[in-house]
Amino acid sequence: MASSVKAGGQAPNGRRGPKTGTNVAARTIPAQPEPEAPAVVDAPAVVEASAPVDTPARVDTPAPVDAAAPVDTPARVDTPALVDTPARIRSGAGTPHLNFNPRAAFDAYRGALAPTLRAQREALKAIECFGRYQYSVAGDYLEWGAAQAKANLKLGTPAELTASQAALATQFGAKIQGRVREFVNLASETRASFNQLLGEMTAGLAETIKQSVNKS
Amino acid sequence: MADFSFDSSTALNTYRSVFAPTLRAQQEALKTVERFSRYQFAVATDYFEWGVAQAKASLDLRTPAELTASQTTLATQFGEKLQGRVREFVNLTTEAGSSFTQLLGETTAKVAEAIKKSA
Repeated sequence: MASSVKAGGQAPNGRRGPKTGTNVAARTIPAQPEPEAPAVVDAPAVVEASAPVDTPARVDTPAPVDAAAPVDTPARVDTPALVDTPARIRSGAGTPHLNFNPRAAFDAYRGALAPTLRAQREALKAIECFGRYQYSVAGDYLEWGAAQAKANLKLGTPAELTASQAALATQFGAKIQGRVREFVNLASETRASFNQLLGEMTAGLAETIKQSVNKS
Repeated sequence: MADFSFDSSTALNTYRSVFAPTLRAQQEALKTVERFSRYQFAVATDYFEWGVAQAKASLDLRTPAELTASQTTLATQFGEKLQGRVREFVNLTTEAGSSFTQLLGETTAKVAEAIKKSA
């Protein structure tokens, strides 16, 4: 028995076993898990939670994605109902429904700025009146200058020249007096209209404040 | 001592007859200046009316389409007015040129007559 063992060259169990460092199969083929390892890998996260913590193979195994996983898993946080996919964006299902009416916005703007608009209209009316008045005064000066030049070029006697100049000056003075009265009337009307506008605006503002106070 | 009898009315008449062409030219020039001044005044009034109408249309603040339509109407009206003013200006210039040409012809004829008489 002992010779056969020697001849066969049977290596002793503890010393001539396969070396992991030099064995090609051991280097290329990954190590197979132990018989109980697949059961742990395929187990759901719930099972893993009840597994003992001190087992290194079980701790390093990633948790499988399962539809029946508990609520705190990341797969349940990003639910498809809240994610805007391109298809959902194209269909407009995920966008909020904005009911914007430009006419209503324009009406609101008009209502909010109505006092300012009315003040601008009154100012425009006043500017128009004063512009027309100034044009009238300029026309009066033009007429007076043309009449004076004509009177000078007629070349009558000196007495006639003096008389015509005096008549022209009187006429122009009367015209200017009328223009001054017109200017005073214009200024009074403008002031009255602006005072009225200011009173109406103040009354409207007070009414609005009263209504808002009553609502609140 | 020499007796000088100076008649102011005769001197004035002589002065008038000598400077009659110049005076007439001055009167014509004054007429032309007055016409052109009135024309410029009318054009300035047109611009003033246009500006006031534009401001009124802008302050009416209706829909943008109405605003555009009113602006277009105002621009068309002002263009027609300006066309009329241009025609008026051409007429004024033509009349002024013809009146000065006529005045120059009359003055030349009078001077030629006076030279012929004196010769």
